[in-house]
Amino acid sequence: MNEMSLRRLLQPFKLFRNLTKKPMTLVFPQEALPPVDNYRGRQFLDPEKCVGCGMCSRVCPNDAVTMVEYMDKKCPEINLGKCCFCALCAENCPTGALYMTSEVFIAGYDKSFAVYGPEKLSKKEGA
Amino acid sequence: MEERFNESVTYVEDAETTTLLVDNGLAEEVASALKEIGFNHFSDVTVVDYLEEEEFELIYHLWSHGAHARLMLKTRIPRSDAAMKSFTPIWRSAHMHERECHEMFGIDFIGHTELTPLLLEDWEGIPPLRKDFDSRKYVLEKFYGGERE
Amino acid sequence: MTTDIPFFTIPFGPCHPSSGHFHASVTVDGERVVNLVPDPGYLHRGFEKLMEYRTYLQNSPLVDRICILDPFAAELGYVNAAEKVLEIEAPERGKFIRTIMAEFGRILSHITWIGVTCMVVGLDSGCKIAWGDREPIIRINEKVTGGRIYPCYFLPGGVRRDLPEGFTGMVEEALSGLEKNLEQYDFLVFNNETFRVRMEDIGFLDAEDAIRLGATGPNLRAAGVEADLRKDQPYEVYDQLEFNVVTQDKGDAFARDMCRRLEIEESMNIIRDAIHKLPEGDYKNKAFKPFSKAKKKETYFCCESARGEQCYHMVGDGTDKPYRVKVRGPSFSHTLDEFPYLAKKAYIADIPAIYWSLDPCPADVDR
Repeated sequence: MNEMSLRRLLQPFKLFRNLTKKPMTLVFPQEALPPVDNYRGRQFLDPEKCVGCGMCSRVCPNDAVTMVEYMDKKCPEINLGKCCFCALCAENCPTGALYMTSEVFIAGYDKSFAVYGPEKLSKKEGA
Repeated sequence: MEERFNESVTYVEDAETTTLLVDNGLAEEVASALKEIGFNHFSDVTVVDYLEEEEFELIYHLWSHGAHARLMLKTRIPRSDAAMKSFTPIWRSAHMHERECHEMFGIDFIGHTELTPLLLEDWEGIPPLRKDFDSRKYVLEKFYGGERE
Repeated sequence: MTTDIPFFTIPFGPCHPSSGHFHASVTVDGERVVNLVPDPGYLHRGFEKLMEYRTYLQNSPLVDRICILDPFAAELGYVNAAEKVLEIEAPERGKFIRTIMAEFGRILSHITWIGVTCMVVGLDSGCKIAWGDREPIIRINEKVTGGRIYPCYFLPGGVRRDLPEGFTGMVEEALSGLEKNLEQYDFLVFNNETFRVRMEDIGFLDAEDAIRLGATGPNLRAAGVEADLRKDQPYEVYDQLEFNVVTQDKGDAFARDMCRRLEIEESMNIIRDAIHKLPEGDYKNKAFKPFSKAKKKETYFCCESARGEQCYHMVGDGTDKPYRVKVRGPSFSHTLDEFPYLAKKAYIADIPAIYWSLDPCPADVDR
């Protein structure tokens, strides 16, 4: 059995010095974490560069990308409800038309809100 | 060990793994002999379903803490009458792995005391990890009425 | 003492804050546990069947989700097994980066474990401090891989992107902050009188029983057996790095706790050593294409995760999808074999302490 010494019993009280330190949490939304580049958020499409090869659609693990008609060629339409944000589509795009931004605030009232067609993908909304 | 089982055991070694291919009937004796030599840690039992050849291949993975050596023990059983002697008397940790294989593939382990469902609940149908069970078709019919959304 | 009162069965249930997502039926006689029957299956997602429908590249974001507490180890095992079946090699720089991130994953998992154990035993301050300590490592994760919790970073043939600039500075800052905080854990948790009274002298698992029941990882090393896959069967670049294997003698719950606490320090040494020896060069092998075909081979690869031995059995059949993948989580034997064995001689109040000293991950059991 361990010997109870007063010193060991009072040791956890050293934690009181944490009261004078700044807390680890941030008051959201006034103080938010700064966005990091290379973050895997929502996709962004540049329709001029897209050649309609369909590579993003074939590589997606969840079948979230379908090719639809837009501006006389095929462009991707992404269903963000099925997307797992793994960025395989952006990495395998041969022209660099599709890339990931650091937008993470995607919410709506209806499931159809989550389907981002080529026009919606090419708009950068404010942070 | 090769002296005892010379004709009926095939010994395959390549750069990474060592494999022993055994007949169904001899598997238990070989396993006891391996435990005596020093393979005291039973890692896993895997089942691979070869649909065209109508066989299940059972693969036992063993590790020896003393000699830092790994071994694969393979045996084949027919698909229509899938039964195999349980290795639980030799390695106690095989108990739960065999129970999972029974549930997922439908293999009967003779001598196992508790072959009840482990992970799935209220499952009626063929054992799900077999190759003739198409899980995508099952999900589409049961939850989406046959159409992709 | 036998009376007419029958034994009472209570659920150590899936909605209990100290059991994770794992259910066990506990039969008690007064305060003593008579029998414990584990009942996994609440997190069964069918990974083995899912992996048969996707190519080798599409499986790599999927494998993270097997055990979220230590995703780098699950990815490392998958990637090495896939490399053997596809017959491609990763370059040196890629292997060093993978080793560094795997050790960060181990530190993250151990800090999470300290937090949850403190919460379960009743020491809530430990939980909040531990969750704050995870933050610098998660920010490194974010900068390097692009995601805070799910990395999706390893690939058969290397890693997906190179390390960012300023990586070495970030790592030094995070590690020195962590070293200062480890003293806090020492006087709050590991030298705390109440914590020790709750954890010492319960849940004895000696070496023979541990090997018989299939224990691996810190649970086995706390019983005195020096078994670590990073030294016994080195993979990646562990044979070029210097570190010690931590063992303890006693085999009770507190010995397992101390084993993990000392492993955090060893991991920090490994990271510093690896950064020192990091070579230049390619970070991935360009021979791996999205639809590369495998050879007709099968392989079995084991790596050492924070909890024990994580193994992948992969069968390739000449197409671009694997024929069969079997994942063996380290917590399979721990929760289903060792936990019932240790709980049989304990009081009800000791059950959460024993359960979390084995460091289970219910997602590993069910996959």
